[in-house]
Amino acid sequence: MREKRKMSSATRTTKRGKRRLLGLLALSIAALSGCGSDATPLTTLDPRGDAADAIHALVQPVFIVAGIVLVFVNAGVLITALKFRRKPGEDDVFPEQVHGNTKLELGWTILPAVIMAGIAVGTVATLVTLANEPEDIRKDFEVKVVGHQWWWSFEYDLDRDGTVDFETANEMVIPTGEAVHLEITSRDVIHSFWIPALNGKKDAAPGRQHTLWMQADDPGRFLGQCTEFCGLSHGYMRMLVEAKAPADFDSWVASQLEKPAIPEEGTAERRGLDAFVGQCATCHMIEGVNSPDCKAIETEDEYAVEENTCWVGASPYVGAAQVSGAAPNLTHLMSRYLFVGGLYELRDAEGNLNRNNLEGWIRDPATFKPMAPDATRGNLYGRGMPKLPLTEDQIDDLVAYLSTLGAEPTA
Amino acid sequence: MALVEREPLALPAGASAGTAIEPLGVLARPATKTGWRAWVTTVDHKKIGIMYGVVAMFFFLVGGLEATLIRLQLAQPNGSILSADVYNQVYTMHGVTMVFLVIMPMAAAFANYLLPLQIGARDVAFPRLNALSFWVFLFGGLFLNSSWFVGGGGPDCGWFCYAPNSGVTFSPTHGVDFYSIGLQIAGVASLIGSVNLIVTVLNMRAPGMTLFRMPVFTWMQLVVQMLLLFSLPVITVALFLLSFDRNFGSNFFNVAQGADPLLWQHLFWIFGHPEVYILILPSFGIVSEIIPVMARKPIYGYPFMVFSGIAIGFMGFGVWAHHMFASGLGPMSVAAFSLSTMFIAVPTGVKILNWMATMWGGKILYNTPMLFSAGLVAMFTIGGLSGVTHAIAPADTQQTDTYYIVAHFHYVLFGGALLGLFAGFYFWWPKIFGLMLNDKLGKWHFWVTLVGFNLTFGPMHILGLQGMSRRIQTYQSTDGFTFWNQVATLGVFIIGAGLILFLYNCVHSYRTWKAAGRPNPGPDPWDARSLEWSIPSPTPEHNFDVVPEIHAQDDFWHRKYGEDERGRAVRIATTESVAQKGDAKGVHLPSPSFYPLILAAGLPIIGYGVIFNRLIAIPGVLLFLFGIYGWAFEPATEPGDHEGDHGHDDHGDDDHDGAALATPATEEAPVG
Repeated sequence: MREKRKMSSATRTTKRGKRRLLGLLALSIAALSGCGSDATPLTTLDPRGDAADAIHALVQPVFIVAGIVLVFVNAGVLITALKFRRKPGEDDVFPEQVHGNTKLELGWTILPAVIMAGIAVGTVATLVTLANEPEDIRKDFEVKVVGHQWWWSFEYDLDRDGTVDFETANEMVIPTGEAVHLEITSRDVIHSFWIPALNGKKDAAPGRQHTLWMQADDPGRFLGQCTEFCGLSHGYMRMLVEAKAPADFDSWVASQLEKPAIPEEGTAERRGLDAFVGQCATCHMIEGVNSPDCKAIETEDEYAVEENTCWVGASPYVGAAQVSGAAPNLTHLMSRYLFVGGLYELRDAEGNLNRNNLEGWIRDPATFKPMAPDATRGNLYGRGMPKLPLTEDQIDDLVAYLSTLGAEPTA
Repeated sequence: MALVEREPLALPAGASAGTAIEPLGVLARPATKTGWRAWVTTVDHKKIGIMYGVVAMFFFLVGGLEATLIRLQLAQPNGSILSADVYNQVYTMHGVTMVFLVIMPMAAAFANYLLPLQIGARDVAFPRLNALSFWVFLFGGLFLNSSWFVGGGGPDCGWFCYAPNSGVTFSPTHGVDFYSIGLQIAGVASLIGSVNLIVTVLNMRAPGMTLFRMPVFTWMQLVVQMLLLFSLPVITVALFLLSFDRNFGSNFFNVAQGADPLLWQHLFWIFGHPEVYILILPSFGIVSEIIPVMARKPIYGYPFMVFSGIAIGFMGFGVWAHHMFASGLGPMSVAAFSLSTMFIAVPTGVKILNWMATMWGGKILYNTPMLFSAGLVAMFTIGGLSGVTHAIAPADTQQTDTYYIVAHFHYVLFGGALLGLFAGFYFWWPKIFGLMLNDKLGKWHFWVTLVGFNLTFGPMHILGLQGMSRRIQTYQSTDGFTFWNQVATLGVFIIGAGLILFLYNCVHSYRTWKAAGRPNPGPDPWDARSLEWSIPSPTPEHNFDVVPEIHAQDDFWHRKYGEDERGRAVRIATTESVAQKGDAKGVHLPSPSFYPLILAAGLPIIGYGVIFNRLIAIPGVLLFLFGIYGWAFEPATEPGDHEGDHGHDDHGDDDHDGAALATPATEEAPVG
């Protein structure tokens, strides 16, 4: 299985090489803009997965044909401009009064129709390829992608039994080689899920489930951007897909299923947890602290051994009724690269936590990303993260607690 | 229908309407012919056309200012010139303004002014409705823009205003209310105009002006009016539903109540795609007039030009879902709309090749109108070709909602529609105002605009393929979008310089003309082909002294030129000998009226009432009802107003019943 995957990946790479040679126009555009995918992380011209490859292979010849027609028409305009220009002294010269030529005109009606028919065949074939899921699609799990104003949640359903096993925000992890089935929807307005390197976009619409499959050839991180206008902070709604080798993916899944530890009493982290429960838990969720439908318990011993228990102490924040889900799940925050809707790096170049950014974000979210948290006409809750009444000490404690959640990603 | 003023259809020249009935109207029928009163009460299609043009040009400056703000904001990563909230309003209003308040009314300006002239008619079929259409449009546009001042900001939902983001929950200011009601008002204007122009073209053609002798511009405008007639009701329904959701608590787009958000998208694009052809076909018509004149050849393949326009009109209704390839339609519908979209490229391609064939072998005079026309052929082709790449649905899922699309439709709407409209300004300026625009300044205008246009929108192809999304308030420095955005921002200032050149040209040409003793350019300064050039410049109020009899396509040209044995044109008559003098006396013309203005003024007040407080609507409703009442009982002519050059009469007005409309055009037209 591993071998086969490697081989198909290798043939894919050579195929892609050939297509790139063919794609003169796209290449020249790429050259003009001086881009690789590092310089332009959202580029559509550097596909890294089967679906994006199929699209790229389909459109490249069309770019070439279109380029030829473009040169032909514009050269035609230029040539007629020069050749049939009325020169000085020709004010009384009249050309032959040609009214048309039916055969010629039928010709240039039929010719484009034939070219279009050719393109149509390829288009329908690719549409079928993309609509049908590949045979080697992962059947053991799927991901529910949910758009929110203005961030994404990814709910992993292991076993595809309809129950969510764990949830991440703004960053989705997939295994390389095999395709993954996505169910895309939205909690509020229409968003669009788009990872240009891996597949075309698909709208996330409330009340509707749209499916999409995604496959990445090699490990890597692929940036995305919400592409359906979704209100105030649309431009700041980003997401990241990380492809990991299957073994790494499996260990990532295992780590995501772990419940975070409850900090020792009397520590800054513990005070941070109290602040979280007091200020953040209405919207944000941390597994084992305020997960929906969990069994509330009061001793830490039980918490460690039993599944689906919430250690809450004397807190009133227990169970689903209190968690709106209006904000990202923070259970394994530190296992992510980005925060604030996939916009800011969680760590600096040396791998240290970007403390200032994280504190600043908690202190006054609107300075990092436009937010509309105030209750308004027709909306009692507002949209986006409000500025919370937190003291500087509480902010320090919160960051201390948050930095215990999840393990740093291993690249 | 005002029974009071029903009269014989064709009055002999100068005859009195002979009615002794006292006017039942409350306001005396105005008779002023000069000053502002003449403009606000006019029912003359030429004055209305000019007003459409002036107002559209005003909104063009507004929309251009909005475009400049957008480009300034995007000139650098993390730009901070506009907040996200204001940016969303500005880009929304830029789109809404340019589509509904600039290109559509500019095309309407040409349609109003030229359609009656090109078919040999004295006016449109319903002159007072024509005035109503203009005033409703003007008030709709002002109402829409008043949201900046009284609505808590402009609409912030994009010109497409997708549900449910357009709902009160997600867009709590009144901006979207102004969008939905403002566009309903503007839509009424277009709907009235379309009915009026369709009836005019079908019923009021001069004797011998068969449909297949009509100029291509008239044909394209006829197709456009048909598209308006059938597509506007769809957007009106959508806007009604939106207004009801926002202002009366209904749940048409409320997902929590089981609504499907795709309903809005279908309704919007069933209108929205024909709208694209509504915007572009008038310019196709304009260049189809200009190229033959400047090349001194008839339009190549007239039947192909006409039928391709009709084909575009029909097919334009069958491609709407190509705006929705990523919205979650099934693969079958995606395939169907993908194919239909590809094949609409065929009639468009035919037009481009026929224009080139018209130029081929001609003796082309490259003056300003011709430069703009050739510019359209070249630039629209780029937009058409990128359009073909969107038709490939899988590719479109990578392209849609990126700057690649922004590049595409600006090449269509600026490189196509606007270049064509500017060509039209330079071409018909002498006919409309009796003076020529300066050709040298015009050429500067063209080249500066062409360079600025390509600098602004060319890089957007690259940005889109590099993955820059549309409608984003800013981007990150790590995205690699900075350089081309800076080029685009530079370009917009060059476009602005071009526009200033045009406005300066208007003033400069007028001053030079005045200083030179107001020389008349003559009826036919371009040695042109269609009927409007057979009458003096500027067009006399009554258009034609004698309604011409038409014997051929390009009839006026054939009165001037025959063909030698090798098929080359040979002059057989001077323009002066075949052109009309414009000195007819006593031609019956429709009388001016206050009521179109009054009726239209009621609509925005009702709009404010719906948004803010139902009590405000009361004066609006009263004004509206008063307008209708006064209109219905307005006498044909004030007693004693039959002297002077032109007797005023409602002949040819909107008071004919169905039987009159069915009367063949040949009986309708001759009044001289």
